[in-house]
Amino acid sequence: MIRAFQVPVVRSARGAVAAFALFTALAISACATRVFLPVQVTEVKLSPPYVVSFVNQTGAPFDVLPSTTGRDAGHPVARVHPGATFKTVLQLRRVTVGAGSSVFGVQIVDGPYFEPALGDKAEVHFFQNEPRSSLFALQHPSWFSDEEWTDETPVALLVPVRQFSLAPLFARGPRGGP
Amino acid sequence: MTYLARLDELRRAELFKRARDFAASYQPDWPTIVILPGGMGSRLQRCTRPYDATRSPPIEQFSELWCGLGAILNGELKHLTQNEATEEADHHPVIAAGELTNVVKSYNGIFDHFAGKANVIGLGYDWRRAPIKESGYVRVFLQLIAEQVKKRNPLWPDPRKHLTLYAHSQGGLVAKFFVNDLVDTGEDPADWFERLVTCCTPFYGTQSHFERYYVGEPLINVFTGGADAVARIVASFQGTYILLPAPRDVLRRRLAKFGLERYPVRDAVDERMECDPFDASPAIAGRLRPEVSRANLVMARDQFVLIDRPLPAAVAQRLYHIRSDSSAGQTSRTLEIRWQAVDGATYGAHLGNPIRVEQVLRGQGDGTVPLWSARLATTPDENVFDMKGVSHGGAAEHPCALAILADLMRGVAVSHEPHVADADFEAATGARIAELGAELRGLPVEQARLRVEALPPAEYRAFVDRLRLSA
Repeated sequence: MIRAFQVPVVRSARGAVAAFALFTALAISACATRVFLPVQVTEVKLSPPYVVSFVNQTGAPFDVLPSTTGRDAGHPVARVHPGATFKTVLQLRRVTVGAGSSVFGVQIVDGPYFEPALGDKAEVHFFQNEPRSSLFALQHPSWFSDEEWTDETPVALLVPVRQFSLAPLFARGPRGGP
Repeated sequence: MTYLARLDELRRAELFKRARDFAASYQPDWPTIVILPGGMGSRLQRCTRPYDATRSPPIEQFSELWCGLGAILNGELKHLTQNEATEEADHHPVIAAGELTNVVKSYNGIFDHFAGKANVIGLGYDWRRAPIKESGYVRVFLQLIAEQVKKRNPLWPDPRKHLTLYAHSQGGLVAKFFVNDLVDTGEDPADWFERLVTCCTPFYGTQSHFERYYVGEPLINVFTGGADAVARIVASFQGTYILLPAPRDVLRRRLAKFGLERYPVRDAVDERMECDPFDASPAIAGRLRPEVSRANLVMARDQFVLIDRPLPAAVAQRLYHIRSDSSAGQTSRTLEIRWQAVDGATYGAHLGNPIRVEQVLRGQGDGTVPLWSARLATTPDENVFDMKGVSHGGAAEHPCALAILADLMRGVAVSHEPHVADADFEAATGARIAELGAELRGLPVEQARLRVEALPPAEYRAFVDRLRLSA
C-alpha cells in the first residue's frame, strides 16, 4: 500500500474524490490478497563441529570466497595453490518448522565460507578463471552422527577438489562424500 | 540469523501448512499426484515486513506478488529482483505458495480431471532460483505429506508408495535434481514416488527464454518499467538461466540421439558459427548485456551437466516424458536459434530482438520447448510419448496429456503414436495483447482489474495465457 501514500497532494474537491476512490480501491485489492502464515521453529539438534579441508587437486590456484556473513565478519578471500589445503569450520543445527512436525531442516550455525542455499543445501563459492560453486547436502543424516564430540575435538572432513561440480556433497555415505 | 535462513523457515512453514491441509482431505484408497508447476507457474508471495535479523515473528503476513493482477498492474513485479546473493533486493522475503490459482489457472484442469479419483496437490517452488537448490523442497514436501497423513491415521500406508510426481516444464528440472539426489545418497526412489511424469520439460533448454535478456517479456514490460527494466530483472534470477539453450559440450554428445545435425544456436549472419550462450569468449560473451551474470551462467552450465547425467536403469524406468509438437505441418526435428552479434555493452531494447527462431527453421516443438529438448537422452524410448497440436503453456492440463498420465497411473499401455489433440487452448494475438495493454495502462488499478475480469471467459483465458511462462 505504499503507492497509496504516494498520491500527490490533492488541491481540488474532484481530485480529492478521485484520490480517495483510488486509495480505497487499492486498499481493497491489497487486503483481499493478504495471507497470514504461522512460523513455528524448534531447534532440535546440533551437529558436531567440523573442520573442512579443501585440498586443491585441480592443478591451478583457486580462491575460496567467504559467505555473506563471513565477509561481514572480516573473513578474507583465501587463495589456495595446487596441492595446498584450505581449512574452515562448519557446524549445523537441525530445526523443525510447523507445530508438532518432526521433518527437519538444517541451518548453518557456524561456517564463514558456507552460504545457506535454501532447500537444505549450503554453497561454497570458488573462483578459478570464473565463479564456481560446490554444494553441500545438509539434510544428509551423516552430518548428525551420534559420535561423541566436544568443541575442542572437531570432526575432520577432507574435500579433495579435483574439478568443480554441483553434485551435492555430504559428510559420509555410499559415494564417499567429502 | 541470515536472510536466506529466515527465508528457508518461511518456505518450510508454507509447505507445512500445505501438507497439513492436504492430509485433512486425503483419501487413502486413491493415488496421489504432486504437481510441480512450470517456471512462472508457482505463486510467489511477498512478506509485507522487511527482513530484520533481530526479529523472527511467529506469524508473518504476505501479499500476492506473482501472479496477482493488482501487483502486475501496480508495477510491483520489480520486487522480484534479486541481488547477487539471491536475496530479494528489497529484503522483503518472497516465498513460493503452490501452483498458480489466481489470474492464470493453468493447472486447474488437473484437479478437475482427477476429482474423485486421486489426491492432487501442487508443490510451489521459486522459479527464480536454481532448480538444483529448489529440489531440496521436493524432499521436504514429500516428507511432510507422509508425516501429516500418518498423523491423521497411523494405520494408513505411506502415500509416497502410490505417488506420481507430475512436472510441467521447469518443474521437471527440479524433479530431475531431486532424483539425482536420491541416487547420490543411495536412497531407493521407490520410497519416495512411484513415477515421475514430465510434460514439456526443457531438459536441454528453451527457444523462448533467451530473448528475455534483451527485450524482457512483452506484457510484463508494459507495467514494469519497460523492456530494459524487465530484462534487468530477469537477469537477476539465478534459476532461469537454465532455460537458455544447453551448452555445446552437453548437447554435442546428444545430437545424434535427438536427430540434430549440429549445435542449434548459430550466428544470425554466419550460420557456420556456433553460438553457445555459455561461451566466455569475448566474441560470444560480448553479445550479452552487462547485467547478465557470469556467475549465474556458470551455475546454469554446471546444472545442465547434472540434468543430462544418466540415471541407473532401474531409476530411469520410473521416468516418463510427454512432449508436444504444436507447429503446423513441420516434419523436421531441427529447430535452430539465430543470434545476432550485438554489442551487449551498448545494447538497448529499442534496438530490437537479436534472437530469432525463423519460420523456416522452426522444427517440431511446443512453441517454447523444441521437441528434442523435452526428453532426457537416456530415458528409455518406450517411456517417451508425443502429443500433436498442444502448445506449451496449457500442456499440463490438456486432455491429451492427462489421458496419458491417467493411463500411466493405471498401468495401462500408452500408445507411442502421436496423441493428436482435437483442439488447443487459444492464446490472444500480439496485437490484441498490445491493444488491451494500452487500454489497461490508462485505467486505475482496480478498474483495470475489473476490466480484465469482465472479459468473456474464452478471451480471459486467451489473454492470461500470455502471462504463462513460456517455460
